[in-house]
Amino acid sequence: MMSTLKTLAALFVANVRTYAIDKKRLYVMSLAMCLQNTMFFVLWVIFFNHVGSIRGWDLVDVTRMFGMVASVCGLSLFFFDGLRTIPYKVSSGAIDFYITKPRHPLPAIMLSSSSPASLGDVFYAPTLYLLIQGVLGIPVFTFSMVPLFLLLTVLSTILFMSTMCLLFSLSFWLKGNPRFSGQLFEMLIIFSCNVLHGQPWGVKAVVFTLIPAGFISYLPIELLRHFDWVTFSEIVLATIFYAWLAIFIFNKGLRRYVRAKA
Amino acid sequence: MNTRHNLSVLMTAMIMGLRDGWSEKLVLLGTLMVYGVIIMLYAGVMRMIPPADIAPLGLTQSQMIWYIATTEFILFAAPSWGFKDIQNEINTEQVHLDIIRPFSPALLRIAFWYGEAIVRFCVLFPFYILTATYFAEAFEPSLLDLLGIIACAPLSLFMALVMYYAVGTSCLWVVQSEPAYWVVHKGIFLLGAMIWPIVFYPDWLGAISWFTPFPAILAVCGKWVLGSSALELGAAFAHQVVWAVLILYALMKFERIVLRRIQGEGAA
Amino acid sequence: MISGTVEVEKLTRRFKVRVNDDAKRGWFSKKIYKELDAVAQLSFSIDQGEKVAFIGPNGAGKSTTLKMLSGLLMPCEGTARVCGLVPWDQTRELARHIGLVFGQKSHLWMNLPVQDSFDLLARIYDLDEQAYRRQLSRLIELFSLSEFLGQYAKNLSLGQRMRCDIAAALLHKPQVLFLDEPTIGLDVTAKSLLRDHLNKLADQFDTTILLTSHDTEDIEKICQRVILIDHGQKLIDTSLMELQRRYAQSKILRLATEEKEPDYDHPHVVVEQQGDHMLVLKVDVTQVPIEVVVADCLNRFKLHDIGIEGLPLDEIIKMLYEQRVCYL
Repeated sequence: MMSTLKTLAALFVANVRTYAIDKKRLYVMSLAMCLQNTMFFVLWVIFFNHVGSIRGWDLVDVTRMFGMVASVCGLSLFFFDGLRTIPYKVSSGAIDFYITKPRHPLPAIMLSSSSPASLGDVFYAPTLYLLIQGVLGIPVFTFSMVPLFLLLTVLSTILFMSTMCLLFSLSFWLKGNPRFSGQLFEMLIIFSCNVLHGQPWGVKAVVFTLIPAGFISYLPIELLRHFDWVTFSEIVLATIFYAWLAIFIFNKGLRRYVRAKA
Repeated sequence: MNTRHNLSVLMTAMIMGLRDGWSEKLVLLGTLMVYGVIIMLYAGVMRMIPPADIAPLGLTQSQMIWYIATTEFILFAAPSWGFKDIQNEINTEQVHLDIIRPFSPALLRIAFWYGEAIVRFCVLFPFYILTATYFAEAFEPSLLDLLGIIACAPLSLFMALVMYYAVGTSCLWVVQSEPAYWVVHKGIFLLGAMIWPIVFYPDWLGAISWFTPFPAILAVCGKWVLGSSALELGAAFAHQVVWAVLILYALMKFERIVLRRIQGEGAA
Repeated sequence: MISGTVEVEKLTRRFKVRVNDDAKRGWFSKKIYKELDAVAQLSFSIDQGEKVAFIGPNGAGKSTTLKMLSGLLMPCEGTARVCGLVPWDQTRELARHIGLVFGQKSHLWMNLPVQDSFDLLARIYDLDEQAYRRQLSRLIELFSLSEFLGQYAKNLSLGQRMRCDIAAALLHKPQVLFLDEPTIGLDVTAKSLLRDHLNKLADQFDTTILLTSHDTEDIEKICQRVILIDHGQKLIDTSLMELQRRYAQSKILRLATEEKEPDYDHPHVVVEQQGDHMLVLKVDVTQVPIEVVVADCLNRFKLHDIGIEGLPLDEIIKMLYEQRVCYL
């Protein structure tokens, strides 16, 4: 167990060290990520300039949601960007390198890469909150909300990366088509950073099953509005379920890959 | 080299693009899925807007749904991921083989993508009509409006593809093409007025956006479903033509800069 | 004075190289660069129809020179003309006169059948339809391509793809063909096949070939002339035969003897291999003539067979780099 952890830590350190070699890449990508997040956020500012609120959700909720999704995305891709490389590894056969090791391949694959742009996402959330609350004076957070926000961010991050693992593991069945898996990931992002509150049942059915964005961005923000233990338990249970499902699907796909190779 | 030669190369490349685009069935399916999901989501948002909030802007919920369905349709028809191929070819020096041919590598590539875009346009078009009609619960545009969208689409797609090409080559200057892609893509979202029509924007931002090429890609097509006057549509089309010419001119100049950069630096 | 198809005069290319490019330097270290001459004052001339090998170790400047000659890289100093054109200024005009084959890059569109790539290239080079069909059928025959034309390029083996790539580079009948490691990654059979094809090609079309390769067999089987470079500088420019004759200071003598354990002792002869009824000797011909050693062996042993070989080309090249003497 200790040696596994040491190996994983070494992998992570190696990823971070690559940032030191190419700092320009890190800065440029982080800044560009912040800029694109801001440009997208401005669209919602424009929207709420004309529309006061939509079924009770206003700019404050959307700001919280944007910060939450940016943090979740950033943390997932900072630590576990390797998940996005599964389709490539399957199609190129590079996954064989991980299979032949004596440990389960998933942790090493998850840690095999780290996205430099993700740091832009991670720093975007506090910057956005400080800007909206500190400069514009719009009350996004109270001090008492912070621990809950952090806890929900951790849960959402686990859920988000579980869904990533699930979606990218589909490439075991899709001949490693990276573009299709990328499109599914795009759907996860689109669902996560959109207003799901008040959406019709069709949307809700998708975001609480196939693409569980409802648990990633919608319910956590609802909890920040009005905390209740039932909703919190739903998020915890969903996190556990999707984490299990992700591992299950990955293992199943891996077995299929190994069988096909034999 | 003459016009006949240019056209024959561009046509052949476009036909190859058509075949390549059609061969990627799974990607086409994914495109339809993502498109459908986006329209479903935003239609949900539009339906929640109190009608009184947008009435002063001369808009209805149904028009707004048709608007985003139209702009997203154009955006989805232009394959954006090609910029990664350009980046990859620069990094692996595969681009060298494109350079030492007696034809513009940029135009050749854009013609190829254009073929793909035509496939995507044709596949998406019926889906766009069905999706927008279903979620808007009304068939908003007239037949003339639809013809207008079809007439504006070629220039919109051309401009989007030129931008993706330029984005791909940006790795010659800024380590990787992704940052430029994010900014340009969100530029198309924001200044191209992808989600909300420009009348939603503060006056100053609306004015700025018309000084950029982005509205020529999306907003000009979207205008056809907003019940715009003939004068507005004519002005928008003229704006699009002017920007298309400027962009083509800029592309030719830019290509020379790219070549000099590669010759100076050695690509990778 | 321009006389050859390829004329190079004092060509120089420098690159900026980072000297402290390692992770241990940490976040706040300053980047330090130095200038490195990839090619330095290189001059040579190649006539129409010549087949020239451009050889040197990794980093010698071979590919850099080839890139400059095809217009992909601008020199810092010096001039060059290929088919009378300045490559980096007249890149697109030059494209009609040259063909370029890189071992790890492809002219083909991977997601499409090979025939489609050929058709597009024919349009790009504005080839007359009939002339294109004629040239294509010759290339199909020359490189035995008929079975691949309908296949997707991504599904071809490396050897098949390379043959298609060379054909693609020849569709417009270039006067000069630049080949950069064309046999890299190929198996023995594919390499041999490709060399045969290239020889047939040169005979049929009188194409000037400038080849870089680490595989000395490519050079021996294809080229008549060798330009040896190291650290961007020319060491030797001579015919292949002359190189083998002049710089092979040793010869290999293979003996099959009646004696079970033959042995030989001479101050200028090294026993390379010794076994049952056989002996392999390396003779330093600068010190002792080979015929003296042969005569001596005939006296000492009862010979069943005798063979004299020159030193393999890679041995000669290795020796030249070890000495690193400017021979010209």
